Amino acid sequence: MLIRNTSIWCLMALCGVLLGVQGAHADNLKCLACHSAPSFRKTTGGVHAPLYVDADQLAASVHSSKDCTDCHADLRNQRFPHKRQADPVQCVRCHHNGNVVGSPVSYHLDKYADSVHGRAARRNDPDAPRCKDCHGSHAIRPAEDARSSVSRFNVPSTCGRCHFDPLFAKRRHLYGVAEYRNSIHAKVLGQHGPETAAVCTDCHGVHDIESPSDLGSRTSRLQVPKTCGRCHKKIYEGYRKSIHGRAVAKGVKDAPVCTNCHGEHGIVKPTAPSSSVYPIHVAATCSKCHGNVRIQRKYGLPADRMTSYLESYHGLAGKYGEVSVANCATCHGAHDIRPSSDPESAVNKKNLPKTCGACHPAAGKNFAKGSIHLFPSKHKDVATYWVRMAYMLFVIVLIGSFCVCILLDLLARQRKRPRRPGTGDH
Amino acid sequence: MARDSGSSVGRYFERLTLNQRIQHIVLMISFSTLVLTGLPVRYPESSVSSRIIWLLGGFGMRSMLHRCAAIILILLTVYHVCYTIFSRRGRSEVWALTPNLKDAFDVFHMMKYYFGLASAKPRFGRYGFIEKFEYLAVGWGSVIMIGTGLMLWFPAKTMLFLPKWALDVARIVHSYEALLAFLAIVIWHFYQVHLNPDVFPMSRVWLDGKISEHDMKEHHPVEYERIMRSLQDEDTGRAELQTESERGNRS
Repeated sequence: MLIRNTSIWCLMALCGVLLGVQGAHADNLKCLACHSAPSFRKTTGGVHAPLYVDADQLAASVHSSKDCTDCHADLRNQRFPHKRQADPVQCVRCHHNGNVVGSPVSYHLDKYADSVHGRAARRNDPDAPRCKDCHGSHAIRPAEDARSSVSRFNVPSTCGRCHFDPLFAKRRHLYGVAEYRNSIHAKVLGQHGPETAAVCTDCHGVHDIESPSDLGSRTSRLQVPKTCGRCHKKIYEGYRKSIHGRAVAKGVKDAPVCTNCHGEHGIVKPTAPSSSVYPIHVAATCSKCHGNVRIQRKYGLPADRMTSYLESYHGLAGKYGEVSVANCATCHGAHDIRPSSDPESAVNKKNLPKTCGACHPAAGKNFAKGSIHLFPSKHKDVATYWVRMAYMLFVIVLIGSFCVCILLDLLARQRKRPRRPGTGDH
Repeated sequence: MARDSGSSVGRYFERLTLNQRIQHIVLMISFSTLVLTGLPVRYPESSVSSRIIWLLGGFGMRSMLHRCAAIILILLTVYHVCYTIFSRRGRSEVWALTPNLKDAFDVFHMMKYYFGLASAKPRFGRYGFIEKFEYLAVGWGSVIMIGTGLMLWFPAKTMLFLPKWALDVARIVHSYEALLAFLAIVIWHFYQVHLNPDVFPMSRVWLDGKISEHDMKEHHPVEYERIMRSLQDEDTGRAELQTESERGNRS
């Protein structure tokens, strides 16, 4: 260690006076004599590392009553200025269950060691966050304090120091997190206050954060509905009874959870044109599974549903950007989708007049006489099938005869022409 | 019915009155609008369709234009029916356009001519079988398109009387009849009035309503002879009248 700033010894006296005014602990004075100078730093191989401690911040922090050596315990019996570099601070010295002093052991702190961050820290992964990376070091404030780096309002930017960084995202293959900043959650958070929308920790957990690939994680596929449902309670109730929700409860991994339709970090409100559940995008979103041959075969889903919708007037108008026409969710429901065999399903034959009637007033029983998803064949939608075949034949024969007649007419003219050149056909 | 321009060099006959020409232009405008706003719905996969809809100002605008053009077509059809019933000209035209036994023979004759078995084309009257066929096709096409179109325009009202599958059939019919009409116009009608060597680049009848004496002799010889005969009769009659009045003057 090389201390560049040689004038430090001269500043010591001045610092001591200043600190005395601020009323810091007497023991801390010795430390702050050096560490309170903003220019105090060490330089290793041309890299500057600040050694400055903001005494004001420290005094305002939760640890204002502590001595420096309470945390930097390895320097306790050292002579100052200490020669050896301080070891990393072990917060768990105090923050563990059963500490008689009563250091707060907040939310699942004990699970940090098993969390995805804790395990990385044990591997000495340079990206792994330690306590101070989120909570700060000398300026730690309680989470309820709006100025705290872990206050609800500041959580996204604190996590974002790593997770919004494109280089980090690339290095760890954790893409898309930065989209949170444009999400509806972030917007509401900014407009209506920290309690009104989800921040990172609401879905991912705090100290016990786990990778989504971990089955116990709150963000693992089968847990997602429950996690979102903590806030979106009514929707969750509907979803749980839906065919998708029941499949998820049975552990069917192909069943869609909230994030499959709505997206994850970049979630926007359904009325935003960029949303995957915006009216004209619904068909494409549903067809990710319902148009997938593997899933169709595995779960016996009817294969014609997407194509028949896209060919319908509803589908066509939607394709061309008309938002007022029916999409999948208009008839089937969004969260409370039930199979048509369920008497409570919106697309049960008995309920069709009511479902169609939402857009087509005066819709009667005739709406249910015939297929909604048309798939003309010899066995189904027979009338449409035969009329189409007959018309196709009619068009081909008629237009074909037109073409033949035109050809014959031209040939007849050609035949006449050479005999009387220059006079035309007459 | 025919107007003699007076000069023996460039004699013209009236083929379409101003009223009929206006009907044709209105039909042309509404038909093209219907095709332009309708075919993109039939061929949604085509990038041209998307571009047309974009140019028209979106799908809602397309639908509105399509329905406006449909209203024009409906009004025109109603007017035309009244025209054929209540006007003398209209009645005689419909009579001239009604297919008869001669048309069947003419078709047969035309086929023989095409295959080199007859030396000349059949001799047509005011309207040949091709024109009669086109007129009837427009008639039946309009009725089918208006009928199915109204069903699709008011699905809920239609389904007060008809089941859902009838509406599906109506959509198929509307779709295929549209294709048929479009192809019939661009292939058959355009050949008859634009592309065939007799009239290329375009027959001007739809603009000025006139047909030259030469074309009249060539394409409608029976009609031409009938007019000539009636003119002659008129002339003779006028001459007789003149002689009589001259005689009266003398006496």
